[in-house]
Amino acid sequence: MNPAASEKQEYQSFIDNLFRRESGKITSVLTKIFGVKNIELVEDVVQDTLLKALQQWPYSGIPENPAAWLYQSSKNRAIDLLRQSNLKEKYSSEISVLFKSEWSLSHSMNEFFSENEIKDGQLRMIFTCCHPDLPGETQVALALKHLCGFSVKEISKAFLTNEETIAKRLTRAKIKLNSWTIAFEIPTGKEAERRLANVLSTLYLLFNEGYNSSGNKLIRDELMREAIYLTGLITEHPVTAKPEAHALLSLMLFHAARTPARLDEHGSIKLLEEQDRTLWDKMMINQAVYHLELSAAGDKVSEYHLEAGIANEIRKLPEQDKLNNYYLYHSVIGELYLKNNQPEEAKINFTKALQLTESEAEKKLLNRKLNMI
Amino acid sequence: MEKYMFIFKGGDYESLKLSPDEIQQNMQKWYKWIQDLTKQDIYVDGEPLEKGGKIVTKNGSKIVVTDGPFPEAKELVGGYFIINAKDYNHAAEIAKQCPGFEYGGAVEIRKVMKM
Repeated sequence: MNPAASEKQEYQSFIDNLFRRESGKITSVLTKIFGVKNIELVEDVVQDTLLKALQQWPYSGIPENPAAWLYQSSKNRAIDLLRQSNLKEKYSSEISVLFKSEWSLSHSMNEFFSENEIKDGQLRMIFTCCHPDLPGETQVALALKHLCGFSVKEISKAFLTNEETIAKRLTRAKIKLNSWTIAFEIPTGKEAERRLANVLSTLYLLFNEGYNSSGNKLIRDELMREAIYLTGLITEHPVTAKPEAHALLSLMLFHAARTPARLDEHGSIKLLEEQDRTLWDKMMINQAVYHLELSAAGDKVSEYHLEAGIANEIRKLPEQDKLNNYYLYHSVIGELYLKNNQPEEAKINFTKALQLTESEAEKKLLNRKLNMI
Repeated sequence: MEKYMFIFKGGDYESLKLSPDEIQQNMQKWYKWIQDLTKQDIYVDGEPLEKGGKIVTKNGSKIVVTDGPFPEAKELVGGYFIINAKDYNHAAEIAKQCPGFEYGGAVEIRKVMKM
């Protein structure tokens, strides 16, 4: 390969949003070390690291392992901070006992940046940001900021609101979190179920911010991707990998998979039967089915199970011409849209189903549904 | 072709509180710029400079070392290039592509003395 071609490949293979993704990971790990109260200090370390990379990489070249470089720089900065004895007492107590000697300091620091520790840190951050005593929108904003590396400006663009609103929301959250002296942990015991339920609900909210948004397409896709990424983390950790988490991930993937076919040239929503199925993302659908199967464990059926199940049934339904005269199909689609807070599409489908059925009972049911919309 | 120095000034990235994405975008632009100039045999050398520094001056009869400079953000020198260019106009045209302008940076161009 000639030098020009290989260099071009190196440049283009540099991962989209790498800095965002890694900043979320580093923030999570460092918050484990320095504690939730010191999150601003943590943000400064991350910022310094990224700015160092901005200054150096253009000259030195992009490292073969960019993430590792970022981790190393953050580790060094964190070690510097920990050496300053006047700050030591402020950090999370479980951590400070590890930093007894010079050798153990570097060694411990490396341990914190292992793959498992990073994932563990991210999960703790998810549970901290998605705290049930905070308003749903605030939880989403916190997750976007600390886990997904979004700035206040970027969050406000995603919510189609102004920066001041988001900044205030985050400040109020910080004050609350500080006053609760919150532990940075994955909840266990009795609390675990309630906390997980809340996390899933918040991640679904984040997903829908993207899915239902009338804003910029790139931002919409990004929000769905982040929700899928975070829910994926939940399904990967043995403590949190409950069936309902798999069901939620499955349903997100089904919806996201259909996105390329969902809108027409004018940005209006296309009904399922009008969508070009070849545009559906096959890989996402395969992943959706995979998680749906994992969600079948146990005997609890959550709302996410139902939605994912419906989404799967729709995917399996026969091709277009057979579908159009099938009233049950339109009924089911209508239900799906209703559950997804898409009343207009629901109305269209229930009306079509009404036209296609001969059963009086079905007609009554459909009319009732239509009147409720 | 003659040698010119680009002195990059200003662009106080810290106070701008850029998002990780914005930092990455800017970093990629700088990287691509150096790559492109290298391919064209324009880029010769360059380094980023750390903040802080020392100043050595003669104060009366003594030579003194102090910390500094601590300039205004727009005067802060962040790095330099040595490039090949035909003349100042050519050098200026090249400098116009600098990704630093996006965040308040400026480029000072000085011709390296031919000896």
